[in-house]
Amino acid sequence: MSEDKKKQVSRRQFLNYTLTGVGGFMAAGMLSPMLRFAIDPVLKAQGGGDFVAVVEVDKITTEPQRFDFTIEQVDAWYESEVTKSAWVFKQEDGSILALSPICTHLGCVVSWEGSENHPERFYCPCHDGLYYKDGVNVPNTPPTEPLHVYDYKIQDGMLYLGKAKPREEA
Amino acid sequence: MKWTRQDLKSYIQAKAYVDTVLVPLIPVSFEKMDEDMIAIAFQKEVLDIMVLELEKEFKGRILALPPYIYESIDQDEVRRLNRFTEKMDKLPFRHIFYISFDQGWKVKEKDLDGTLIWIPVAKDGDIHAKVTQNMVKDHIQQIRDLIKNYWNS
Repeated sequence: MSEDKKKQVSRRQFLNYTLTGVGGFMAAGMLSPMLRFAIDPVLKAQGGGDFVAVVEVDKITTEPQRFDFTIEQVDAWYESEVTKSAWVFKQEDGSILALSPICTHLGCVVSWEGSENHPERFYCPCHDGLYYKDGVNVPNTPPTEPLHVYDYKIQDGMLYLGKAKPREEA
Repeated sequence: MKWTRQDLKSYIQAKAYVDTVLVPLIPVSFEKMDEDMIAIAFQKEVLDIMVLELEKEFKGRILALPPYIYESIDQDEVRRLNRFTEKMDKLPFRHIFYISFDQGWKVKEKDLDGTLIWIPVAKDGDIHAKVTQNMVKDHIQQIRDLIKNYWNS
């Protein structure tokens, strides 16, 4: 009798097994995406992501030149291609400076020597804002902070630009 | 600046610096030949891009309005447009530019209160084609210089 009992699965046991099994499945189904989200940054491929190839490094001179490049921009409704520009040149110490052309006053587009009256300056046509070659705003003109600077890196002779960031110290 | 919540907020902060409005004049009509309807739709697309680019370039000084829609140009329409702009003139906008590809406005130019920028836009083409893009870029460059000239005069 007792041997017989051992072989048989009781109703209680059967229910236990099946419920644990199904429950376990459901729990796993819920937990694994959570886990994935939690460690997502670890799984992401490193680097490259936000940087865009802009120009060959040997085309960059000591004179600021304007280069255009497109980035993918995603907002709540559309994914679109946006054209950005940068004023790029080699500084005296050989390092590269890529300046955003967006005037820090009200957002117009500035250009290098954009006015005949102001050589060697970035000039904003809207309200006569001026910046020195290194992007620092000329005092007593409308802008109150220097032009933003693009993050950059050089790979295989190409210049890659990232995000434009405000200067920390001017 | 554009007619958007965000840009209007900046406009309100910086009213003194924004002295120019740009009003795109866009015809919408079903009483035309089929090809002509397609043509004005295409020209409208081109004009949209021009306004967008000009706004980007001169963000801090120009307020680009949404399109001013009309059906056909007659004396009434001229009056309606003038009335519309009159109110802006009372605000301290020093420059009011209408931008249009419609020859009809060019003919009435002397009756308009604002300054008309008339651009002859092709009637057909592919907005994504390189040729069209270069043509549009060239136009934008010239309108930019024109606006700067008005500012400096």
